[in-house]
Amino acid sequence: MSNTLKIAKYQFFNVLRTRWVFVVFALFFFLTAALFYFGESEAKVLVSLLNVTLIFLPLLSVLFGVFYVYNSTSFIELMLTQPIYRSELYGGMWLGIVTPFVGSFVLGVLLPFLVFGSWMGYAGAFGTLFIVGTALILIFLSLGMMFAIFAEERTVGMSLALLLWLVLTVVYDAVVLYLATVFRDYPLEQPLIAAMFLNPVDLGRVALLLQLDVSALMGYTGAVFREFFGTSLGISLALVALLLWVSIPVFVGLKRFAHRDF
Amino acid sequence: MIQFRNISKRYGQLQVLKDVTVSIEAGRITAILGPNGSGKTTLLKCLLGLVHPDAGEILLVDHRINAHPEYRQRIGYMPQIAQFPEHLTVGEIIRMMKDIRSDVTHYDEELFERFHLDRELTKKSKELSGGTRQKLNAYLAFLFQPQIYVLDEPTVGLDPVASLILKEKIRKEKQQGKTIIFTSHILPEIAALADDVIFLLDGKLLFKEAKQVLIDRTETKNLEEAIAEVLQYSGVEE
Repeated sequence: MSNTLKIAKYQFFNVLRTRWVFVVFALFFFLTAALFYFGESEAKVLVSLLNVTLIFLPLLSVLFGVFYVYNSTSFIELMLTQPIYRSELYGGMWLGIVTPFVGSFVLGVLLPFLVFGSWMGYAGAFGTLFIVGTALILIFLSLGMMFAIFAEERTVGMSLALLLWLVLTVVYDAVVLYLATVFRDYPLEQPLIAAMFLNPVDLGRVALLLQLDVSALMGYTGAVFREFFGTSLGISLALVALLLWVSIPVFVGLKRFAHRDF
Repeated sequence: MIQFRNISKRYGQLQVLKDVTVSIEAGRITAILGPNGSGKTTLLKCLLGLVHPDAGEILLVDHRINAHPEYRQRIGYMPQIAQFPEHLTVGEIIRMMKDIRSDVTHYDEELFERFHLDRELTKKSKELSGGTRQKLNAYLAFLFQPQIYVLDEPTVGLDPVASLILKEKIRKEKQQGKTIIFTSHILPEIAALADDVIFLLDGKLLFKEAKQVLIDRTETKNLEEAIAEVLQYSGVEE
């Protein structure tokens, strides 16, 4: 087994035993179960889960990423005095942090769905929810780790993480909406699609909404989006964008980690 | 064994190490001392690859250390403070370290027994007292039988008995021909253990001398007086 996987294994158990992972599992499990229990349809369950996934999951992930790295500083020091590469340690930590989070999110939604829900007509939508949620966890955990590696001051790292979360979940939409109002006389579909790619939360929201009938409410713009995501090119582009959103912070964090003093 | 050549390191405004050139001989115990913030830990961290010096090079048995981590197989490090993953048990932490050092098959379990770490195996690391954590830390530094031990304030936080056991262990390793470097503030401890003394002041090397040579040269009775004498002559007040 490579050093990366060995480190990942022990980090996995450590992270799995934190309260955070349990909170993610419990939240999604009880929410999904409760929604089904009160007789909501699959579509409504999905919309409720969508909002929790888009707002709460990024916040928890980015904070945990920052916290975890700061709390591990002296452990990182000890590990780096062993004959291992820095990239092996970073990769191992990343894998060990990410897997329990993704696992508890997916299981938290999947278990109640298997009991109460029906795949009929909703497999694609739930599949998209899993992909979007997983991508958001990966993106925001990687961003959190990256901030903690860059900012040696804990408060700076935390502030950056919170600021980014606020920008991507709230401020960004407000700005886009404002610009769309200002330039309403111009054809905005393409700039809006571009704007969406620059924010993984938006990308996730649109990808998911399009799986549901509510996209009919989005009028002409919805139709444009639907057309865009209906093509395999659109879906591939969206997946590539999410992949970039994961790999850039991982890469930048690793680069800094490899050269930083401890 | 180890040669530091013209090592300089700056953190922002603060020049932590200034052109430090010093060598550490094989088979001896070398103590690094100096006031707080004199660069002791930073010098050790340069050797361990944790800190990248701005200038200078470090030779380990005539090979320049670089980004390849293999050279660290020869070094056992005991940091000042050790924190382990909070939710892992002592047993898991030991297994993790052994897994990562799969190049080693013969372990030195002496400190495990003498520190009675078997009683702690199922405890989570966050439940350990500071002293026990430090014992685990010391045990891990000796576990893989390296040629060189780098110990950063090894006895701080240990109870007197554990501290005695560790000092005995250090002497025993020296008899086996191992090279030991440690930092300390405690002069009697340095006097009792060290063969050579490196004194750092404000990031500069003030002197490096064999303990006995230092005492003879300053015509004093013991290390404490010798160091006081040297500091007086170099116009330094602590």
